[in-house]
Amino acid sequence: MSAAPQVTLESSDGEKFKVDKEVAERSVLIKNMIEDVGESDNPIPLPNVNASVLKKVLEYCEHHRGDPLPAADADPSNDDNRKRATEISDWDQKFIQVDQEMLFEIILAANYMDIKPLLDVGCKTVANMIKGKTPEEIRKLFNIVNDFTPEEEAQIKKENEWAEDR
Amino acid sequence: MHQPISINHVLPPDLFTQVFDFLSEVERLDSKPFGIRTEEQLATHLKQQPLLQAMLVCRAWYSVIRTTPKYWTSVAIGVGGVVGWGSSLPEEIGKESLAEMLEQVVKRSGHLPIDASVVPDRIPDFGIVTNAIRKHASRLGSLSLIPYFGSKKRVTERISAERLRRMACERHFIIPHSASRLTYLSLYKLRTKPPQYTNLRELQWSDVGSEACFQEILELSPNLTRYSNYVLGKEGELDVWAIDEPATILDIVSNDLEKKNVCSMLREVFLDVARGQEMDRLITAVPSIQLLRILRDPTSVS
Repeated sequence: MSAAPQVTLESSDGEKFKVDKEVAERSVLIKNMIEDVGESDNPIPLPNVNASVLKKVLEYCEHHRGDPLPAADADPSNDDNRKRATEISDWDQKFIQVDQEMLFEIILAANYMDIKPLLDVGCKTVANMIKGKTPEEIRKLFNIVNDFTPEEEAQIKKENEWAEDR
Repeated sequence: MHQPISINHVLPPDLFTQVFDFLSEVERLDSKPFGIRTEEQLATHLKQQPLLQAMLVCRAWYSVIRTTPKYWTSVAIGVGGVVGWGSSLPEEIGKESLAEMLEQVVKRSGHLPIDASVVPDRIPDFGIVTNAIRKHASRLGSLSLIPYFGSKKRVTERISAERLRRMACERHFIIPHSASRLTYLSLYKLRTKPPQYTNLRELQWSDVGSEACFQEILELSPNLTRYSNYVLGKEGELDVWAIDEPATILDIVSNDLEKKNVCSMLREVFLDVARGQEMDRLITAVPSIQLLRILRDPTSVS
């Protein structure tokens, strides 16, 4: 039995990762690069992703290597599909239990490398962190400065009163 | 002390939109209006509004949320404000705020379909709502009319709503006479003849025994594939031991509707309480049924 084809990825800080092509191709960016350039022994540079983040991203890709790609024809008006779209699997939840800095880096890397399921996991996690919190609690959690004047804040509340529970 | 890096300095605006998309989706699912049957369900309906909280965080978040039409496609009129529910009606909504609410949702949602939930009993001048619905009927994606328990008010209107995909009505009815995209209909005590819904796939009909309107709607919905007598997904809220209404779907058998080729596309039937023997007759009458699920058969030993 022949060994699975492999590719080498190079992080922004010069570390090289040899992985199965099937794993690397969870990234649409890498898949397209391989298709465009053809198979080569040269490492594929990823100048926007450092080694610690790339290691984490590859852990995700390895775990999900055989997963079917998201169904393009899933009916978005179907509540079952929509509910599935907002849920995070147990493994993914454990995987994404990282500090905020790493969470943001994973989201950015998933966006850059075009790994939609991983980007979704990251964005859902941030959404879950926001859910149920007051604006002040959200600011504190994400270290955001309140740049509204008290008058502006009052005005925004007033102009959106209609949207609150009536 | 190490200060965590601000999310606003890390994520670009397009990624914030993705985060807010999930927040919006969670909000929508948590506030699912279909199948509201109890005061408690009504009281908790639309209580989660994380996007309204998020837009007050900072200017950048406000700007993204305020200018994204898809976050403004849901409107709930008369749904909230029911905490402290008593024997009298909650505060009614004045003409001015109602008109503003409707104007805002139409404006902010751009050209997207609007999902509306309405409690007609809390709106003294319901003409404002029906006029707005008529005016913007082509924008309606889903409509849920929720009754206030104990009120005698009854609204019956007919509209044309080409984009309407889902509708739930209890006691009050805004009947779309033209709704070519309607695929889901949830009804309780319909007292008026419905029009033909060619594309209706799913019908939820709360049992009250044999009903003339039920037969009519089956005859007028040739592509029905799924039928249930409770809102699917809410099985946990049913007290199946207290249910004793006869299954309305037995009208098919008792009135020989199958001979008129009614329900020839029906594949799935979900019932809370029904007798196995009667269901055997139903399956014989409608051989297209592939799945029949009953939560309780009163004739079987528990």
